[in-house]
Amino acid sequence: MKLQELPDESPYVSGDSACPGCMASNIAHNVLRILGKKTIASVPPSCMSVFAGTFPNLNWDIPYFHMQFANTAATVTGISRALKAQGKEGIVVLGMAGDGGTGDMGLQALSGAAQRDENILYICYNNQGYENTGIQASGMTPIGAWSKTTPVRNHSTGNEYYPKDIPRILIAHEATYVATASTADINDFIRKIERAKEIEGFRYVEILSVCTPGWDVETHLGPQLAREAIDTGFWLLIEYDKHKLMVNHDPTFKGLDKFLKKQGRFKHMTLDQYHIMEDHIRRRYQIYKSLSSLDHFL
Amino acid sequence: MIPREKYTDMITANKAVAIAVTRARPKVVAAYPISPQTDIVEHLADYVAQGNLEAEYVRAEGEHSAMTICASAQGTGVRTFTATASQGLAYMHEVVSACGGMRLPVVMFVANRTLMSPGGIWPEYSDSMPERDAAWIQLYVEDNQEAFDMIIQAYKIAEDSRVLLPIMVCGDGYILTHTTDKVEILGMDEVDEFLPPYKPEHAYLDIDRPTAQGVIVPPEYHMEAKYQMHKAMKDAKTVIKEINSEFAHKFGRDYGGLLSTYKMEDAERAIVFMGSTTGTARTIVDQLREKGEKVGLVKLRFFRPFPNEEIAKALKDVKAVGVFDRSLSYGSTGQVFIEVRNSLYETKKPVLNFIAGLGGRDIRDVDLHFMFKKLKEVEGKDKIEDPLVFVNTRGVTV
Repeated sequence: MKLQELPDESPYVSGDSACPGCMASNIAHNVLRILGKKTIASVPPSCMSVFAGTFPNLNWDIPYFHMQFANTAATVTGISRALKAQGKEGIVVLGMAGDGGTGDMGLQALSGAAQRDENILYICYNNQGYENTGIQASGMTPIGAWSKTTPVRNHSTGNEYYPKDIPRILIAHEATYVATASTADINDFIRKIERAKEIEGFRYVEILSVCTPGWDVETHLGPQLAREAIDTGFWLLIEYDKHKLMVNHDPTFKGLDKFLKKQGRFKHMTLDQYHIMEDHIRRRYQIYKSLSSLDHFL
Repeated sequence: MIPREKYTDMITANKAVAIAVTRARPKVVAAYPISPQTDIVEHLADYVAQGNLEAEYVRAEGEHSAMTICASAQGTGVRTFTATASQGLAYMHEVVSACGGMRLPVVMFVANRTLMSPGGIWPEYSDSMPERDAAWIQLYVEDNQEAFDMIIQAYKIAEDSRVLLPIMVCGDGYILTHTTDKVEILGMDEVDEFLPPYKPEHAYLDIDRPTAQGVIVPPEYHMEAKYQMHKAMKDAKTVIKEINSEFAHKFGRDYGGLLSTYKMEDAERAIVFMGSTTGTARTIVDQLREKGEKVGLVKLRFFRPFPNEEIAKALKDVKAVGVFDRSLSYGSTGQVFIEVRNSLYETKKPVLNFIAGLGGRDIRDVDLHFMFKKLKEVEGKDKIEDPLVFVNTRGVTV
């Protein structure tokens, strides 16, 4: 479907209490416009569980199940298996978690579900930090970024570690479908969510989610930063389907410095830190590019 | 293949539990190995593979996920089962608690095993006791037959609309799980009649009737949910007794409901036991009775809900009470002792707490004789300095 053909209404109904400019809210709305009402959703403790899942004000006009931080993939596994046992078909079982709940605590359950090829759709809205608890670094926070647990002080200059690359970990499981997406490339986004809706088995889509307070940016900047993240290679659009890996968009790698300077979390970065980030972005692109050209993926 | 009809076999408690599960027909089984319950999930894999059980068998990647899968599958409207022990139960703790609060009638077998440290694989109740406040019904079985029967009863109790709470059926690791004993396996049809297929009437995930489960509940609404959990636990006492009677009437085995008594009619001294130790203790009661000692015992079956009134009634005429605990709340006493003495508060009887069998230490007949002897020493006393008695423990003066 094209953007114009998508229904305006979403089973993720309006009126959540997300921060101004929150892209996670926008992601949920657009994902559910595509998935529709034959969906059961589970969200772990995260921004989304608070701003859309606090009794009695729930934004989910579909069955909704809230469990713990570490077990989203196992939660949707149980739902999916129970539906199968009851002979109920054609229902998308959606797990929707942040990066902390996906790549840190949730990684074990995610790996188990991927390995067993559970019939689930797992969406990670990656805002690159523990933003719900007030901006702490997660295992998926970019190298160099400021957060309240990676302060910029005399003895510390932001996050000293590289972020985990969850899609690559899941590709190593030979998972059924793995993709990254962004609302900034809406056609690519729609195509990937539609593909994930249509097929059976384990499906993972990781979507960049600009967090205005966490990234320390003005509230109107989300869509623009999401776009620039693709062009600069900061956010890579990839897709692994039928055991074939594709890089959907080749970045220009231009404008990275300007992109980073717009975000308060990177404004302290030295030239050395900038080069580390730039090298990391190019290296990650080369890894995906070379994996996509290997014969054994054909 | 397991025969459909009723039959009798010499089997371990683990096998008895696995066969009972096939009779109860759960639709989702989440499995993760841990001693001493591992052969339950092995047997169940076999039973699913050979067609004795039609269920989704999920090889979870850990107990945290195993309990999650049971909870969310149950929340989607199907009967579920899992088994665990010790560290596995501790690892699933946060989901165990969520499952109780969400009122999901999951049934789990716990093969009681010590919780480290020190490490060990042998029986102790230090794994299930920390789950006492998780809104799970908790019961302890004495032998393999009771393990079989209580799995069947557990589903019926848990799913009763007056209850809707999960149940852990606890059995001593190795002493029961790995020891063969005679077990009557009830036939498929008679179990179906006693325990019909699961039809959830409460909230479950259904796209035609969207509901939300387990959500964040602010203080304005929170306390009422917690009160309802407590009320359900209290109401479960009636249901447990009803189902015990129905089972006894249909299958001829009456376990007494929340507890049972042995030679308590004219007893002057009695000890409260739990689990497999009860069987040995009966023999000791018989031996002491032959010598003219008026002793008896109470077999505590359900630890949650705790039968306060029933235990007070059972012990009302004795002059001294002992409580056996196979676990200890360090710096306090055994957990069963706290409950029993609380139940006896008005009576001012002397109550001793026998800590025995920790980490699987054998509870010998001499140890049980020792407990009854210690009890005789305090009979008639109205003040006890320290109720704790460590049985057969090096370096402890008794």
